[in-house]
Amino acid sequence: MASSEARVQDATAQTGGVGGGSTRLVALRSFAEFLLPIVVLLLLWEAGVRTGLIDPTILPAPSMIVGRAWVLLDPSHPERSLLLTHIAASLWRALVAFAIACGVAIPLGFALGLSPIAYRSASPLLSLLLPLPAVAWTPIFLVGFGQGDTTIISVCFLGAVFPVLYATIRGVQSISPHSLWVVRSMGARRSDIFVRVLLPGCLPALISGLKLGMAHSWRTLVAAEMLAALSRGLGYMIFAARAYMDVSTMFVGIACLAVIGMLVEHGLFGPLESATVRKWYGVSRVGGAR
Amino acid sequence: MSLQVAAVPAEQRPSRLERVADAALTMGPVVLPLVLWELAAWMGWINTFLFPSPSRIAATLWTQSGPDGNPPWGIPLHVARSLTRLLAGMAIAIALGTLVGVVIGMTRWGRFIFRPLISALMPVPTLAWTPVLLLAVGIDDRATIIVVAIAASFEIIYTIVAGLEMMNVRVFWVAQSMGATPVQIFWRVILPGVLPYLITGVRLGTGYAWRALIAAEMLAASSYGLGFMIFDASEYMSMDVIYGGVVLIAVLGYLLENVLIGRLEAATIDKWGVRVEA
Amino acid sequence: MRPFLAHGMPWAAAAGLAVWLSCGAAAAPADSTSIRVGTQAVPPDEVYAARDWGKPYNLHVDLKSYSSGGDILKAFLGRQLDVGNGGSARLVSMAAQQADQFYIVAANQYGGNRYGVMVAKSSPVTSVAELKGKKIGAVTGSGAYNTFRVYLEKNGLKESDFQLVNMKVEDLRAAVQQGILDAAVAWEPHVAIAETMGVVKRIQSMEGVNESPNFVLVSREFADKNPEAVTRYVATLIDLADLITSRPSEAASLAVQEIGKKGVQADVKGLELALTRIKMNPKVTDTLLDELVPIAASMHAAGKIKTVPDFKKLVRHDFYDAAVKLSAANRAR
Repeated sequence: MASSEARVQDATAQTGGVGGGSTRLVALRSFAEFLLPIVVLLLLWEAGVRTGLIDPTILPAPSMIVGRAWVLLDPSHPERSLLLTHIAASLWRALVAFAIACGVAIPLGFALGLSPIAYRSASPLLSLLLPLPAVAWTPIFLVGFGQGDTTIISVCFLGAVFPVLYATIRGVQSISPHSLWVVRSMGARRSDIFVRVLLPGCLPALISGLKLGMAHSWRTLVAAEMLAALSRGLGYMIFAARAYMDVSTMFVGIACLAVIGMLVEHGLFGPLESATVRKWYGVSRVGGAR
Repeated sequence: MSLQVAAVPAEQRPSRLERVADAALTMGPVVLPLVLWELAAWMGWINTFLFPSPSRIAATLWTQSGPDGNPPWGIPLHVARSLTRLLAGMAIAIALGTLVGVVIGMTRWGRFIFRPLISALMPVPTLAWTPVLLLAVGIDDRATIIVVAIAASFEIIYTIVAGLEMMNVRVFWVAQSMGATPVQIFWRVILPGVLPYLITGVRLGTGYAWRALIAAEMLAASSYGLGFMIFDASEYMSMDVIYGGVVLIAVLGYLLENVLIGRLEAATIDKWGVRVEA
Repeated sequence: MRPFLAHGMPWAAAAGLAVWLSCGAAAAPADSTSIRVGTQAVPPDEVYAARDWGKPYNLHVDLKSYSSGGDILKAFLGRQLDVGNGGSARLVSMAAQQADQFYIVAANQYGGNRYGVMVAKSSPVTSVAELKGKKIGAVTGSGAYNTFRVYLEKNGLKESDFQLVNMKVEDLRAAVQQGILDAAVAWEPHVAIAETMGVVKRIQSMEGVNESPNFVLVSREFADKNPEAVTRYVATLIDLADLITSRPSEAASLAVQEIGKKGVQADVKGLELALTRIKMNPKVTDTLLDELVPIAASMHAAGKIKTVPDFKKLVRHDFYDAAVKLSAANRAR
């Protein structure tokens, strides 16, 4: 009983539940409950450093990290903020790579998904390339392009393209050919078929593929930047700080990587998913992609 | 996708020509580019410094695997080191992941404490932990093993929790009503119940762990490991070693995720009829 | 048609990529008053980047930063840089295989004092001999490591007397601090910054063991076409060396300022200490060159190179001599 009750409560909180004011309170309460263990952990961490249990030159206190982040953020002159420059550089690379990956993977995915012959021939290559860590390509691009945005974006592209491609193919393949035949026999035009049958049909898989692709792009970015960044980017900042033993700045970079990763996964695709998939399918997914 | 030869009557069995055509179609995209590449390198159409021919890559892999390599027996050593790290990390992840996953899935307080932490920490790129780990433990083996453990643990916990939520709670009640002690319930009900999800979690986790391991090795390792090997090779611009290394990483990653665990999954989950959709 | 497209696209993309990569290393023609230099995250390069050293000589120095010396050499060989740096084994390989690609025009960094052995602040150990049987961290293959081995030889110790642990240089400090390692051998600024952090002490400097020189290399093609630019560049190096040697605290402040532009806070005292331990006189002397010979000899014996190169032939003293005059004239102004 207890666990199923909790499940209902969780579900209610997630989908917004019924009625107006009480929903807000429930949502607020579950948000607070969500934050509590995190806050407790942060407090313990802070205490550990203050009492001398944890060495601040190895693990600085959260207050020191926030302090350093504030300095780097330079709120009075945001256009000069070093932190924002690094974050912007990183986000730019990850987003461009992701955009290109979608531009390549979605059409290709449709093509492969709709043609069994093409899929059969591409499939072995695909299954071999899918588990390959995109970072492994970095040394090749480093020799070819040297350090800089081109290498990083290329590597992130490779990281994002395969999950999106794979998900698109799966999505297209999951549409029963019957629905296609029926609609076509009713005289629907190609564009109609695409918009009315194909797109909604593969959307859940596609969106979960996009989520995975963006997550992969961000994760690959972290690694690629640490290896190949020239002068900006969170990975670059982390490694530059490491070179001069500025532990606080290093942790600021790591915290930003974490927070942005979280925001991208929960914040970006969550609402997109609920607006489309959940509305149409009433599916509630637990947790996020990795 | 494969043609089922056994069950089909003789007249409907695909002809030899069809089978050859199918094989060609499947192998074509893999073999053809390699052949073209080899030809292009031979004819001098491409820059063989940046794109050494597949035969040269294979030759380098061969020599580097033997006593003449630099270091001797280099490739087996690199592969062995990477696999050892993966294995050690996975072992930790299985133990830790199962424990935490069961605690989250079965207890109220477990869910309360761990769920927020895990939801918050899971999207953090695994590699972001590497500089922290390097400060804390420094030595490349320890750091990379922990990276593997982190990457796989999250996946295992996630899968086990998802699986437990779907698991029929009635089985649990029945055992309780029959007077089973918590320990008995754990070993006789929960563990077997969790096993299929654990195995799937291990399969998915291995994929993430392998990726994280290679990246971590590129950053942290100072002596052996496939990630180290390709990164070091880029320092000396040995493109053939890099390409060879990438191929090895891809093949091993595929084998680990699909073949090794896939076989295990087939032997257990498919047999038992419990399939978890990832 | 569609399957063909589906097949065609990836291969067209690959072909395009192949063409792109092959053209990648095309050299940009250099103008006579500009020069492309590779830098890394080391204090002297940070000081160099902090100021426009070429201005008094009408020289535009185009600085590109790289993550390691190896990357600089790669770009240098790929004609993306006119100036690079190299020392010991790497330089020997290049001299043996690509001797017609570069000249040695100046000394970059040298001096055994830039390598040191550090232990935790609270450690009772005061000499290397006491570390017998203990764990010493080092970056195998690095200049610091090689010099340390020479030190051991000169003091009757053997590598096998210790447990050498291979780690990256940035991780040595934390490992020593936490007791994961008993000691570590590192190069500046890693020792100095750790010392000023108050977490380690240096028990042994490699001063006097050898010089382990790193040299400034100029691409032959560039030098033959733009000797004036090279002379002016070496003049800037003389000025840089002068600042670092005579006013290290000012140099350290400049470095901190430059590092701050990346968002990193470096310790000015630590950098000052590090700079005082690095020798920077750009004059290429025989003492420095002679150190390359035993390295070349052992590489030749191990079959890594075909012949022992003649290093003296690779040196162009004339650039340095002219630069001295140029720099003196500038200072007189």
